[in-house]
Amino acid sequence: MKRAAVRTGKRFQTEEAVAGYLFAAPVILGLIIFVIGPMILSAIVSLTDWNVLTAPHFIGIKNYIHLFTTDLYFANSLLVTSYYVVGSVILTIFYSLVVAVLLNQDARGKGIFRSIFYLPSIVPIVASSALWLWLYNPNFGLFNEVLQSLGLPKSKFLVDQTTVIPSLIVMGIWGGAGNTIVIFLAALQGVPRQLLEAVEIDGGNWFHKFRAVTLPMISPVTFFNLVIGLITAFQVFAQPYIMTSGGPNNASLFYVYLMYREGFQRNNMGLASAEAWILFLLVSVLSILLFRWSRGWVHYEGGNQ
Amino acid sequence: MSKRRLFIAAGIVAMVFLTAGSAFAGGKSEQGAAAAGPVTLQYVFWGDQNEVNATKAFTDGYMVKNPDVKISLLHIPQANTYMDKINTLAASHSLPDLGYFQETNVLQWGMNDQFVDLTDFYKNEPAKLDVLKFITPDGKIVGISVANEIQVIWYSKKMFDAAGLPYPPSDPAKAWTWDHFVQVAKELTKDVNGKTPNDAGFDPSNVRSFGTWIQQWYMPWVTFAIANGGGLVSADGKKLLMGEPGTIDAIQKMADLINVDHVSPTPGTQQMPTAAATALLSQQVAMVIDGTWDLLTIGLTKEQSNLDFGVGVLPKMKTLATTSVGTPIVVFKASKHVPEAEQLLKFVMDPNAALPLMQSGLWLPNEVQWYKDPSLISKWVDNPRHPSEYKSAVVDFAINYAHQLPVYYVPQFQKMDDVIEPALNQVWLGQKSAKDVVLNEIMPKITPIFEGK
Amino acid sequence: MTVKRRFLRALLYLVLLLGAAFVLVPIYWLLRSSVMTIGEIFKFPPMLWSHDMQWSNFSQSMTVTPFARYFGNTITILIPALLGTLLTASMSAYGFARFKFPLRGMWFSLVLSAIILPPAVVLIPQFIMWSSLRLVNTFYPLILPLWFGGGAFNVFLLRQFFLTIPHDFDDAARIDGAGFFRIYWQIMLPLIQPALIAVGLFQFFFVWNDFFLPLIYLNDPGKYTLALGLSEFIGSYATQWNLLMAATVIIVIPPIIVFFIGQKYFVEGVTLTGVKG
Repeated sequence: MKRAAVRTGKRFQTEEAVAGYLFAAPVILGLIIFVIGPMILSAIVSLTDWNVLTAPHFIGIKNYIHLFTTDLYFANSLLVTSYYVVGSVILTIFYSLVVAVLLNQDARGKGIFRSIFYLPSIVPIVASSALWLWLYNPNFGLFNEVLQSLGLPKSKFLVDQTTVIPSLIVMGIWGGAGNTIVIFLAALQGVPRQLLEAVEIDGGNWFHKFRAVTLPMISPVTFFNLVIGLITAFQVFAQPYIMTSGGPNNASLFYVYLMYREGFQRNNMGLASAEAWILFLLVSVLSILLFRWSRGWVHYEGGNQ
Repeated sequence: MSKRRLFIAAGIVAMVFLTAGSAFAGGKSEQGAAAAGPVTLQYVFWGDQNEVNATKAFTDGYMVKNPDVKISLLHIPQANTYMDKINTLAASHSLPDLGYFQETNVLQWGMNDQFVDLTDFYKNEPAKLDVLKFITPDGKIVGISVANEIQVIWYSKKMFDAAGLPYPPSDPAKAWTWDHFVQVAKELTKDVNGKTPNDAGFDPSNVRSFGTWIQQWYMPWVTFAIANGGGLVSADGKKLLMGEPGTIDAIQKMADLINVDHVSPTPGTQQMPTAAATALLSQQVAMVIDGTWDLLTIGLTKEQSNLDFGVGVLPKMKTLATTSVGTPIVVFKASKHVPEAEQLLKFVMDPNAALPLMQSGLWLPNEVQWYKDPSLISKWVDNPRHPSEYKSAVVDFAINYAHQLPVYYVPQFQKMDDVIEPALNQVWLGQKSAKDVVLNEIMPKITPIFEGK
Repeated sequence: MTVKRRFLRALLYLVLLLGAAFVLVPIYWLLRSSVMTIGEIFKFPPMLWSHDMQWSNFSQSMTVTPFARYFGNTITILIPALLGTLLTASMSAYGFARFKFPLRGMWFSLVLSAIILPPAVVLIPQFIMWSSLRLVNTFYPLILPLWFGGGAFNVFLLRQFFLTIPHDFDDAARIDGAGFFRIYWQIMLPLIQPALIAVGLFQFFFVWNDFFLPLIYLNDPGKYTLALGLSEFIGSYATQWNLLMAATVIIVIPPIIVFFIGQKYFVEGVTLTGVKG
C-alpha cells in the first residue's frame, strides 16, 4: 500500500533519525549546556573552598561534612523549608480543587471569577511582598486591624517564629493558586459526561460522582499539580529575601535563600554549591517516591506514561 | 531537501540573533582596554535619588577640574543587594575602580587582599575621625567612612507639646537617665482609649501611638551595651564582651521597652515599614532612636508636610555613649588606574566636596576639624535643614561621645552577627530573657567564631 | 429548582465570593495605596480610600526612576525570549513526538528530569559560565537559554500535544512531497496553536515578572527590567510606598490585558495538551 511504501525502508530510517536529532537539537543542546554541564561544574565547585576572590582549592567532601555536622543553619533550613513545602502544597491543592470544582458548577461569571483568581499570579513578586509585609504588620497592618474589629486576637504574623511560616503559606496560596485552579478547571471540563451520568443513573449523588468518576479522571492533573507544586515550593526565595531576611530567629530561613546568602553574600561558593547538590538529590528522591506512589492512584486514559 | 531548509533557517535565525544581540551585549568593556585618551574610573555607590543627584554633582564637578578623567557611575539602588552585585562583578572580573563597600564585609575582603592599602595615602590627608577607620589585623587602613553617622533621638515636638512634656535634652551634659527616658516614653504612649501604661486599664495590644521604638540590627544594642559598660568586643579587639553583665542588662532593658514598659512596637525583622519621618509625622512614634542620616527625609517631611521635629542626645545608662558608622570608600586592587583612583578618593573624602550631602542632612563629615572649628561647622550646620539644637545634640555629641562599632575592627563580625541577630529576635519578642539567650545560645556559638576556629 | 438546589447554589456563590474576597483584598489595598500620599497610607486606623487623590503618583513613579527605560529593556528581552521559546520548544517537541532516533528515550527522560530540577541547583555554575564568557551584565543570559528548547516543561507540554495529532496529516503531506521541515512549519504548528498560545502566555508572564535572573545578571541599573526596577522604590533609607504601589499598578496592566485576551486559548491549550495523560 502507498502508506507502507512511504514509511519504511532503511534510507527513511536514517533520514528520520537525522531529522529527529536536528529538530530535537535545541533542547538536547540546552540540556547539555545548561543542565548537565552546570551540574558537573556545581559538583566540582562543591568540592572546593572557592570564595570568588581567590583561586579555589580542592578540599574534598569537607563542605558536605560541615553541612551535616557543624553548620549552624543547614539542618534548620531544611526543616523550615520542608514545613513550608508540605503545608503549602497540600493546602494549595485542596484550595485550588475546591475553587475549581465550584467554578465548574456554574457557567455564569466563570470567566470573570477565573480571572479574579488568576490575578495575584500576575502581580510582580516584589510588589506583593511589599504589600503583604505591610498587611501583616503586627502594629499597624490591615489584618490585625480586621482581626481586632472581629473581636479576635491579634497575631504577630511574620514577626513571630511560630506564625511566620503559616503566614507565608497563606501568602503563597494567594499568589500561586491561580495556575493550579486554571489547570484543575480545564481538567474538570474534560471529565466525560457519560461517566457522570452513569453514576447518577445508579442513584449516586455528587459525592459519589466526585469520588468514583471525577477524582480518578483528574488524577493525572492532580499529580502534575502536586509535582509542580513541590518543585515551586522548594524554590521560595523572594519572600525571605524581601520580607523576613530568614527570621525571626531563622524560622523562615528558606533553603534557596540560605544558598544564595552563602554564595553571593558570604562569598562561600563552595559551600553553596554543596547545598545545591543536596537539594537536587533531595528533590530527585522525593520525585521518584512520588512517581512510585502515583501508580497507585493516578489513572491515565491511554495507559501509563 | 528538508534538512537543507532546516540548516538555512537555523543559520538565518542565528545571524539575526547575533546581529541583534550585539546591541544587547552592552557589557562593561575591560578597564583600560581602550587606547590612549581619558582614563575612565568606575565609581560604585548606593543610595536613593538624593544621593544619586549629589554624587553626580560632585563627580561632574571633578570631571570639569580634571578633563583627563572620565567617571562612570555604577549605582546600586539598595544597600542590602550590594554584596550580591559586587560578588557577581568580582566573578566576572569587572570590579569597579573604587567606591562604597558594605561595612560588614570590608575587613574580610581587605584580608583577602582585594583593596589597596591606603595607610600611606591617609598620612598626607587631614586628620580623619579614628572611629571611622577600617583597619585590618595587620594594621592596614583599607578604607575610611566617607561620612559619619551616629545614633540620636529624633522626636515629634507636636506629641511632646500635646503631653506637656519638656523635649529630650540636646546638651550631652544634661542627658536623661534610662529610667527617666522610660518614664517620658510611657507618658507619650497612648492606647486606643487614650490611656498610657501608667493608667489602669491600659491595653498593650491596642496601642495607637508609641513613646519610642527599638530596632533589631546591631547598631542600637551595641550602642547601649557600650553605654552600659559592655559591648560586643573590646576596643582593642581582644576580648569578647557579649556575655558581660553590662551587655546583657542593656539588651534586656531595651527589650523591656517593648514587652514590659509597652512603649515600643514589636520590631519586624526588616526595617520598620515606615521610616522615621513617617512614623513621626503620622504620630505613631514620639521618639525615634535612629541614625543621623534620617535628617534628610525628616527635613524634607518638615518642608512638605510641616513635621515639627527636634533632635536630642541618647539617654545614658552607666555612661553616655553613642556609636559611629559610615560606608567606607575603598580602592579595589583590581583597578588598572590606582593613582587616578586615589586622586578621586582624595576629592570624594574631602568634606568640601561632600558639602551638598552634608547640608542636606544625610552625612556628617569625616574630618576632626569639621567638628571643632566653628567656621567649618557653620559651613554644614547653618542652614534651614539643620535644627538649632543640632550643634549640641549631634556635633558635640559625636566628637565627644562616639565609640567605634565592632564592624570596623572585628573581621568575624558578620559571622557573629548571623548568629546574634536571629537569636536576639526571641528577646525582642519577650519569649526569652536576654541572659538566657546570650549565655546559652549566643556565647557558645560565637566564641569559637571569635577565636577563629 | 428545588429549595435544596437553590440553597446549595447560594452556598456555592457564597464560598466563591469569600474566595474572591480573599484574593481581592490585597489587590484592593494595592489600588487604594497607589493614589494616596505617604501620610495617608500610614494613617492608623487605615483609610479605605484616599481623600486626596494623588494621580501624580503614577506619573511620578514613571519619572523618579527611568521606567520608560525599564519598559524598553523588558520588551527587548521579551520578544526574543518568546520567539526563541515558541520556535525551539515546538521544534524539539516535534522531534520527540514524530521521529524515532537512537537514544530518544534517554534524552526524553532527561527532559523530564530537567522539569523537576530546581533552578537554584544550576544557578551558580551557570553564573560562572556566563561570567567566563564575559556576558554578565548583558541580556544574553536571560535570552539565550530560551533558544535551546525554551524550558523543559514547554517541550514536554508541546510534545504531549503533538502526540494527540493523528498521523494522517503527516502522511498526506508526505505524499504531496513535503519535507519534514515543511510539514512542521506549515502543518503541525498551526495545528497546535492553542498549546503554543498557552506556552507563549506562560513565558510572557514569567519574563515580565521575573526578578531573580535580572537581579543576578544585570549590574547596571540602566539595564534593569520592570520587575527589578520595582525594587528601586524600596530604598536603603525609606520605601516610597505610594510610588511603589502606583508603579505596580502600571506594570500589572499589560499582563492583565494579555491574560484576558489569551484566556480562552490558555484553557483550551491546557485542556487539549493531554496534561491529563
